[in-house]
Amino acid sequence: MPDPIPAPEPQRVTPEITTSKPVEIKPVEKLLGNPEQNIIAKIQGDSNPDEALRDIADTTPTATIDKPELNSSMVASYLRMTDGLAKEVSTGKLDSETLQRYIKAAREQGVPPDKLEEILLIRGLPIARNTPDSQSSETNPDPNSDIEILRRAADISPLQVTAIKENGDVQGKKIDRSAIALAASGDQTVVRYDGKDWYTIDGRLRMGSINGTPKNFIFTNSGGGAASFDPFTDTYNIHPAALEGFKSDPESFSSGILHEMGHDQYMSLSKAKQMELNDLFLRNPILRDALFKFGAVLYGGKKIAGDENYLAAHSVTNQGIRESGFVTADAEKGFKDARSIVFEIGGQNQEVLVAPLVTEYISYMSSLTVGREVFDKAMDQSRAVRGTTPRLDTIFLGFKRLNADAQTRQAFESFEIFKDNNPQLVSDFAKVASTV
Amino acid sequence: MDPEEYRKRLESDILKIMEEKLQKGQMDADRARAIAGMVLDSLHPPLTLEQIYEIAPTLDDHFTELTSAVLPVIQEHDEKIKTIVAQHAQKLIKEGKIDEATEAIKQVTDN
Repeated sequence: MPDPIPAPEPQRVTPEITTSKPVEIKPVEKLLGNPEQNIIAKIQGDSNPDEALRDIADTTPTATIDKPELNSSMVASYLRMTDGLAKEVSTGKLDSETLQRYIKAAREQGVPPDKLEEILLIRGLPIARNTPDSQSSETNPDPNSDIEILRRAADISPLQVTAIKENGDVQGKKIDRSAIALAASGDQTVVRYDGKDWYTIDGRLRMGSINGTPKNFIFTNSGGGAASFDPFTDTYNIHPAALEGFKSDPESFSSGILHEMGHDQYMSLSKAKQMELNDLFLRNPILRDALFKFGAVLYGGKKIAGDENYLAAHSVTNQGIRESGFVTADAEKGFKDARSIVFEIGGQNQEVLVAPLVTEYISYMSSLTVGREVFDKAMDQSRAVRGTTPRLDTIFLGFKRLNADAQTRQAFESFEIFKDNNPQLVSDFAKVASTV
Repeated sequence: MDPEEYRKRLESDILKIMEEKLQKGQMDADRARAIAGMVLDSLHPPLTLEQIYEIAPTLDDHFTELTSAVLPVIQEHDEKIKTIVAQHAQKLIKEGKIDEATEAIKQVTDN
């Protein structure tokens, strides 16, 4: 059994993360749709204002928001209104009086108060919390109900991000991944570099295939947590608790492994694609709000024994992180978007990379992707262990917002983060686990 | 001013606001359509200047983004009233009707 030897420093990815001048957070750029462009053309083309107004009034209404679970005409009609209002909120043009008028109109149309509040919270209209309808009529509301989760999420203050740094001078460094090899050595796994033993992992190496794609697994002999993904060796570490979990509750396990596969898929994206995905969250005001709520909980929330220190893990000022290959070259697996966010937490300025925050946020949505029952189990477990569920509350909020309209949902799905979410995942993993 | 010309100027100001907000993504097509319909209904010709002055302040009741188009009309109307009352008050003063002149001016300034 080879002893661990120091890593060959020159070959490791060591990004030069410099702190360039902070840039102001850019306002969200509005993409004008065809209906809006047509109206602008009518205004500019008609010299007679009466005719221009008539042309505009005669245009065809735009399509309603695709939200199958809200298919009553009353709610659909209200959604059209909130969609317009959400845009006003995002641009700081919301007139609370107008909003209250819409809320009143929706009530009169018979939209149930909880459903109305749910819509408003998903749409990022926190003013709804101040309406008389915001109080649940139930004495003991189900803490796992949509509306209760959304209400708790609404109460979480997001990170107060003061700047997004472009860090354009950071260049990902390419390493020769073909020089890395894994070798089983009894109950241990040896990581070799350029034909030489490099370091040893206390776990059994197994090669497997998930949905037809070859994957490396190391079933560790010890270690906390459930599972983890190491982009450097392109390996999934399955800790003892995860293996036990797989035997007792394969569905929940599939959520856990899907979480890690989400990281794998995210880190496999090209730099341009990673930036595009991160922009989906950074440029959409309600997704950005949800992401920064998650960040506030992840970095500043209550910690219990065994919790991972995500703030240190994601911080660009952490020397260990910088030397462990934080920003990788386009062709490698890893974080390629060098942008960072600056915020204050606990009275201290902090700076973390955007990429790990986004991939963590997305991966935590795996339980909702597998199924609501799995998410509810995670909620119950968090409540039993921590007493509260803020992290999952913010994840639920983000998941709902990602799926609130067809355009956003399709944009997210195009990255195929959870492409392995199918029954084959569990049966394929069972084959690998059976060899341990 | 010709009322028809004035009415069209107000409509043009509203269209300018709509164009700007549409370009900035601060207004969507549905809202633009609703505003256009409301303006056509409210400012249906023929209208006298007095009718326009009466209707204009109601245009932003449900569409607050129109305030900047409506406000100049209201201010212009106020100025016109003030001028007329001031002329009337001057006439009253010349006729020695000081109390009536004071009352007339007071009514305008109170409003």
